[in-house]
Amino acid sequence: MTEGALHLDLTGLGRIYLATWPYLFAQIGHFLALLGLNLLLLGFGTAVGFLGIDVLMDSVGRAEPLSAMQAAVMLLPEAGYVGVEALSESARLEVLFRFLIVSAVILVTTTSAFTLLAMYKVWILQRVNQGLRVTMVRNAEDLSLRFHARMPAGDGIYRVFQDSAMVTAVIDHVVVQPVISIAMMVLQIAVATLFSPYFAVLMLLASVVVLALALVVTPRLRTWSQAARRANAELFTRVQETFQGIQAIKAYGFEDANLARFRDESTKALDTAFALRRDFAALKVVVSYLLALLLFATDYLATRFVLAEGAVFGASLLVLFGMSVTQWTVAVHQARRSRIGAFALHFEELVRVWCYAQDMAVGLGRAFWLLAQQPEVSDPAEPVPFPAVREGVRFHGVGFGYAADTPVLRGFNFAARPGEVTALVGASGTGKSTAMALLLRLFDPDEGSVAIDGVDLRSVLRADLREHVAIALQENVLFPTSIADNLRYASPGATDAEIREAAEVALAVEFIEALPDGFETVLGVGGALLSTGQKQRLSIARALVRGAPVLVLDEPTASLDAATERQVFANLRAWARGRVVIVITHRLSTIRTADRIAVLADGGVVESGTHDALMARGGRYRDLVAANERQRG
Amino acid sequence: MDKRYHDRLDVRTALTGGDVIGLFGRALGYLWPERRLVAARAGLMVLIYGLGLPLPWFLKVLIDHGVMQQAIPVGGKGLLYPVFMNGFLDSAAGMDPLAVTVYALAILAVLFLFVGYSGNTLLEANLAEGADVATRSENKISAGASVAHGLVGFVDLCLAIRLSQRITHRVRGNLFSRLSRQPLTSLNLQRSGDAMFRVMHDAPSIAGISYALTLNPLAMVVSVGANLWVLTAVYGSVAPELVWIGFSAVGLTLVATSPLARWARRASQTSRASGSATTDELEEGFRNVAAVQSLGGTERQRDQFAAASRESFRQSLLLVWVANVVEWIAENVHLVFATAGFWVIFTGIVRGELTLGDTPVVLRMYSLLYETAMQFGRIWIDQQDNAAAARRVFFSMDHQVEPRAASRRPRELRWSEPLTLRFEGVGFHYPDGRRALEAVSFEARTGQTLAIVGPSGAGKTTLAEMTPKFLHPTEGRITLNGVDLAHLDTAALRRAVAYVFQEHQLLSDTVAANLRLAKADADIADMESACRLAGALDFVRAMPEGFGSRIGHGGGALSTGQKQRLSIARGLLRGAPILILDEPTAALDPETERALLESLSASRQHRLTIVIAHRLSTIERADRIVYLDQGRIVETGTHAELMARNGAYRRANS
Repeated sequence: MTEGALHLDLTGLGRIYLATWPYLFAQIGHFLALLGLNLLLLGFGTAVGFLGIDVLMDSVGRAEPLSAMQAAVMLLPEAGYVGVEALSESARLEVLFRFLIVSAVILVTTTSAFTLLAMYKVWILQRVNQGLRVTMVRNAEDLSLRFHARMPAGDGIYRVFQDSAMVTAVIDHVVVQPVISIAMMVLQIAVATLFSPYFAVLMLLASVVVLALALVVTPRLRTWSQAARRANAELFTRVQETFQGIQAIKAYGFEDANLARFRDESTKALDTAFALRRDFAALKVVVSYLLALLLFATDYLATRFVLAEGAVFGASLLVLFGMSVTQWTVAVHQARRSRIGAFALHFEELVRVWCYAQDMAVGLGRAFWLLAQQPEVSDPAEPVPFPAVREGVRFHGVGFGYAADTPVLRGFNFAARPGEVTALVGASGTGKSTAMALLLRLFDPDEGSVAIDGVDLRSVLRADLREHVAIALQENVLFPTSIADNLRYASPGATDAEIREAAEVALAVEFIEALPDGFETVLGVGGALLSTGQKQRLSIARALVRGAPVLVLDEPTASLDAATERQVFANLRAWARGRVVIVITHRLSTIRTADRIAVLADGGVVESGTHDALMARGGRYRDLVAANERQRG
Repeated sequence: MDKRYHDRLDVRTALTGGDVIGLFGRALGYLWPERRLVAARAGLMVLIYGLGLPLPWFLKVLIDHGVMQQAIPVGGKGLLYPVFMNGFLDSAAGMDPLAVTVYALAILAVLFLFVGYSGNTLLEANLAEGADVATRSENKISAGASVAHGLVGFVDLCLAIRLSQRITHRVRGNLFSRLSRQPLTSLNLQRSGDAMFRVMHDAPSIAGISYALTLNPLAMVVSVGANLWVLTAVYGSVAPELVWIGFSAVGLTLVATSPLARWARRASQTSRASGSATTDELEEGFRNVAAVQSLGGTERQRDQFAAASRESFRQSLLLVWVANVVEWIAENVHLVFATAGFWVIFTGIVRGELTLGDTPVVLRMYSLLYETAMQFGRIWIDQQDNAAAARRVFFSMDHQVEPRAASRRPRELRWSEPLTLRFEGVGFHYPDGRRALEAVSFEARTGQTLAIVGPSGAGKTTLAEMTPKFLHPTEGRITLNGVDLAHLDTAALRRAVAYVFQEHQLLSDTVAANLRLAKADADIADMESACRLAGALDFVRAMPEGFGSRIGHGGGALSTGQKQRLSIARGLLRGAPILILDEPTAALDPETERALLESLSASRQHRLTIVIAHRLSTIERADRIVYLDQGRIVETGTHAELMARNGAYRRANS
């Protein structure tokens, strides 16, 4: 299928990400709350970590006195702890004991808070994903049949599930996580600058190298990601088609060949998925090694500072974070290590997110492609109510084709009046079903108009129209629910009595009641367990349940035996009083009883009239009848 | 299982602990064919833990002998180091602090190049995923993680991903093959969304199980063993509490997490079932979009999908809850031990027995022990999710498939010889007990056309479907040249039968690919002549790319009559000695029908033809007519005989 090449340059990416905005915006309050709480907790964690290293390493480890603030937090008196030359052994143990209790309380609180935050995030993201999936499905089902004819169902399903998940992932990975990561990285660089400006220079240098590296690898990742998704959608389609068309596959002993194709496609999908992950992993490994080297470089510098007993560059500001020292000590050395470590961790996270973003851009492109398909058939801005159907249905000069250069209908004029049964006949492939699809506005005509009581169908709501026009389809589509639910499909409010009445008209009651659970019998896929003739009668009954003023029967009785068909038709005629009934059929017996017959050929109606009038005229209709007769003779 | 997710075959889904063990045993079987990859990974794992062991000790060197400027005596006398550090200590003895720092950093840089800071975070290459089972399977298919970074970690990760993929590939291939070989009666009962879900989303779980139970525990044993050994060797005499704490951390983590397994399993099963219900809703809607639109069902279909999808999310949220609670418990257990560890180390420092450099060493070993025990405890819980999926996979694999033949060595038939098909007292009832056929007997030969007629619901299609063994008689037998069909090879039999379905079954592929389903090596000339016979040639030629044109799903822009004709052409192309046409002409206009019937009768002498029909025009030409009503044969004979008899047939056709 054609999808138009995805443009994955920066503007293309930007456009895709912008498109996620409405879904994000719907939950903006939650997202801001999530972001705020996360930053708060992380900032708190950094401060507590500082305090901890200082107290443990310098006070407990090297007997240095506490700062007044540290003593206050641990509920210790200043005497003996603050401002003394060195802490006594018992004081050191007391500090250790209190410190461990305070930090345990803080840690239990923060891990609990983080757990709750994680749940909160999942909850928000699920809400977003739900909204998106439903929008995609709605859009896909509103799209005209012309679109569906070109798109394999498996591909659509893959898009809805796999690709829509990407929107939520984008919001998580491209918006929430990076904001946190970048904020934390900036904070770490700022703190590291307070230790020594050299650290900041090294960190910025490492950042430039890592970013350059990521940019170089990016196009490869995108290419692989696109290939992987395409291969997977193909595999999905294969599986879906197999279970759809299993009868044909079995009948032709195609199982083995089909399996071989499945295996090939599976291998292709796996290979592309592997290549994508391999490149991704390689980038991660290189980045984390570069960041380790950064850490080692600062290890060396910090050790030199301690050995030289140098002053800490921004000591006066560090005090704000609870550090009590002004000189390079082992505590400062280790505090510096934990900052650089945190910087590296957040940076690796950022690189991971960048790689995700490449993959997600591809997924999003596919998801939004489905969302961006404009329904060819749309509702009018100012709809008029559905007319009362007094004059009937009229096709006026209608032209229509599925593809631009092969018109199916050309200058098609046709009318059907209430209280009459109008038959539409013609060779197969002449456009009979297509004309009826236009009546239901599954498509709109390319030229001309379809009107009921002079009201152009394009000016009524689709839902309104479809409520008033009932159709029994040529292909019996039944859903795997109970018979009653199937009959009620088109008119959910129908009572049991109404359903039964419709089933009686369609001569379906007898076989339904012979089934184990009667009307509550649950059908298999596509109505399996029923014969085609039975399914046809259910389709007819379903159309009748609506009691719509316009009824279309598209080859409704092709699979019925002659006696049943006659009976169904007799019932229908009685039922159809005052309604427009249009029947598409090949059966002479059915045609003959119609009030009017329209013969379709070469995209237009070539003759119309009663059976007798058309026979007398000696045109195309008589040829059709003669062909039928010859066979019988 | 929950009735909400209606599945009609797979109904008993509760899993006991014993079932789970059985499932795991089976999952492990899939590891054996990949034993070389497994062995390679096991080897790498030892290398990773070996190289990872000295890492924290160099951090101790950096603190104690760099920053704290403690001199290294010859032979490392009086220092707490494991034996494998002796070489380094000897060579660094007497160096000044800055030189020791540079030396240790250089060694660290080399070690990192190979294994990174192994054990700290996992190296993985998962991509973004959604928040329910269906969207996570993509990462599961290519699941892989290495405890190391660096070059070794990279190689290890690549092997791990390949291993998962190979197992998944094998499992889903088998599953796909088994599913497509199930008898039609079972397939009709199941929903295709469910089958899809099993192949695409459940199958990847097998790989997860198979190494969660082998490589992961092995890695954990190696890691826990090595760390406890070092802990004991170095601190056993100075601070034995450190060792005890380490041992009990492993034990307590395991105990604290295990009771959650059952809970997790139940949540996961419901989550999967509701996921496949969502796929179903989606698929129904997409496949039947014409019906949905024309019946005004768009709103309802959307609401149903929205409800199914919301439920699916709700269920997976539950799963996430369980995982998070487990995580929370484990973190707090860890906290208890880390606090105890700090107490011991720092009291040791205050007493002068330990040094500040011991802090990163002990903390790293504790965190490795805890992480490992944590993963070990989670193996069982995580596997509950996989067990639920594995059960669904194995259920489908074990479900009865069509037998190739009743006996081990199927009987051979010479298909080129004239064939005689005989039904001998055949009866059939569906699994739900409904009777479709009773005591049906008749005979048909090559060169003949047999027509099956009767009111709809009489059992005509059931009868026809027995010939290629789509259905098997529940009473009586069917023979071909005297051989019971049950003893014939199913594939060979189906090669000899061309079956044209009442409801056309076309794949969304090209016209040629659909035709070649019947005969893989058919050339254009073959296809043209089959299409000409079926009256399909004109419209195929009018399609934009002729035989290369794609048909949309379910047949796309072709009319029903055209699809039916293609489907007939496909049956004819097969050139099989038995041709079964189920209502072939229902969707054809009289002209096309006449042409088709004439050409069929012109070439009938090499073929046994069975036709199900209502139209008199089709039936009249048959050599023999079987009139079926309510599963029984009411009358048989030629058209003239039956009309003369004045029975049910005559009544139906007058």
